[in-house]
Amino acid sequence: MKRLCVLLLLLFSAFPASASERILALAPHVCEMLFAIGAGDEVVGAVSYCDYPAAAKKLPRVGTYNRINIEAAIALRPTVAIVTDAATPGVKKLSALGVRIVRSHPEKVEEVLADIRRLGEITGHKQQADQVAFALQQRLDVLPARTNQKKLRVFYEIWPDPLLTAGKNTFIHDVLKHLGLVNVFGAVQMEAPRVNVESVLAAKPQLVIVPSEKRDVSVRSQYWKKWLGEDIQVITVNPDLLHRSGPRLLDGMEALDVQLQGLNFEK
Amino acid sequence: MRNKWNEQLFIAMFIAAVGGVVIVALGLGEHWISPWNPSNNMESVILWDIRWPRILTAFAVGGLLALAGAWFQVLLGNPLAEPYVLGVAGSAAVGAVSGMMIFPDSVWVTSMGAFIGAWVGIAAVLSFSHLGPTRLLLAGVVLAALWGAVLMLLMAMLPERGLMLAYAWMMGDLSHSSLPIWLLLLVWLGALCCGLVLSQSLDKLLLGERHAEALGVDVSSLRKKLLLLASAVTAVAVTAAGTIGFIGLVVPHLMRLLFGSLHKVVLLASAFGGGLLLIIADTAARTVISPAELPVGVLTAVIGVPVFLWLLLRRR
Repeated sequence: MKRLCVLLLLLFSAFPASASERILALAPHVCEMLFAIGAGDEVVGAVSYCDYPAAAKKLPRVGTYNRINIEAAIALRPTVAIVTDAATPGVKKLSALGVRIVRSHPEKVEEVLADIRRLGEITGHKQQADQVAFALQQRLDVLPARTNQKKLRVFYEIWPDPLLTAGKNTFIHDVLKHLGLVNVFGAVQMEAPRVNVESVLAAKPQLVIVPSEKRDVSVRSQYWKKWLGEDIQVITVNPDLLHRSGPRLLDGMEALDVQLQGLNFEK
Repeated sequence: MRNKWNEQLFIAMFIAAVGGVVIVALGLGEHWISPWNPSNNMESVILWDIRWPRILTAFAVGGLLALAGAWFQVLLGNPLAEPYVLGVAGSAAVGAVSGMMIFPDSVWVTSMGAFIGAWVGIAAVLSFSHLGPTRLLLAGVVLAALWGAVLMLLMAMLPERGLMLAYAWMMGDLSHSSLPIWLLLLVWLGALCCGLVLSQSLDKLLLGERHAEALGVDVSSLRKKLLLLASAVTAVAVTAAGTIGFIGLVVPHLMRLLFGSLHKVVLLASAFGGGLLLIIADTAARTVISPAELPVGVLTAVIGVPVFLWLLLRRR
């Protein structure tokens, strides 16, 4: 029975495949990359939070970030599935059913550009992908020159309760480094260490960055001013731009950079 | 007369132990700060606005959990009983997570949800209180399973980020209790006094229900009072700090092994010992992998289990 299924699938997938791939984009950043390199028409399915560009919202959903609904996925007759983690439940089954699995999980800013190029090759949109990556690289290259706030000590508040921040070897840590900022918990060997107010106080940050969907930091700003003193600067960033390792990353980094220019540290 | 003296010595010993541990816990943290002379303003803020409230919360919550555990163990006649055995923690968690779903940014709503949830759970259990201890325990365990299932359902519907809050709440957090600390300490004192008043009846209950009745104890009324008291204390502890496992199970046994099973002594020792263990566990939780922090529930088990097993072997 299983063999028959596989055979049928292979038959199904073999014929239209010559024209183009049928892609499952199983992470928000993958979705954005594919649309940016002109492979949007070949994406047949996505997962929750794949909300950019607008066309991606109309795609059928085949699961969430941590679970794939095999039946819904297979019904879309995919040829390629692009995932962040091959260990996600459902990915193995997809692979067994003849879907090619490609992994994309950029952990550094440079890896975002590399993955855009790689997805371009895989999907046959190499030229456009190279152009996109090249343009992003140029924007990335000019950033440190523009940033004059060198070596600002930053506490990046990923989540207020429990208080989580970004540790060493994380994507956010790398983004901060590219902007000339010093992550005060950059030495902690965990992905999202839970910290407490005392350790933040002891780390003596000059700036607190609060990612917020609503871009409202009044509550957090009050909170940190209470502990860290009136001098502490609190700014917010759009997490969809800065945490999603996709082509809009540079939009997020530039927006953060503009905010950094506007800060004044009198000392 | 001699008994009286012993009791005072006993309390004095515990107060001294708590005092010593509190001073060490105050000093320990990101870096050592002497509780007597913090060198600057920031250090005194860390000492008195961050560490001190947390230590007091840990003391009160630990004491309450240990008291509730001791009561449940007599009430149900089962050494495996602990404050959460009848599903009060489960229903509190359901309430807290429901609160998080409706108002994700409010600590108050979460605590209110936990408190209301705990009382819904208590009401459900109370309606079985006329059954014997075995059936009451069975009903409680089944109810706990139901709350667990509802909790899983709610968490499956929570967005990705809400999950973090829910997990953190369920592992216990002493850093920001939404209940005022004076209230927690007052409840601790009140619970201890109630316990001491009831302690002679509890000793008789330990002999079995028939013997207790023959000795003039109104068993069914005592059981109801005890159930209500233990549940109320659990509800307050859960509201203040989420669910912290292990203290309620192990501390009463630990105190029985150390000081014998007379309830006056067990309850007194549990109220102090539970607080002591939770202060130690929480201090470890915030210092072991500093600057990051561990969930306190992990530490209560890591510290409590070896001590308990060692005593169990030694006293055989």
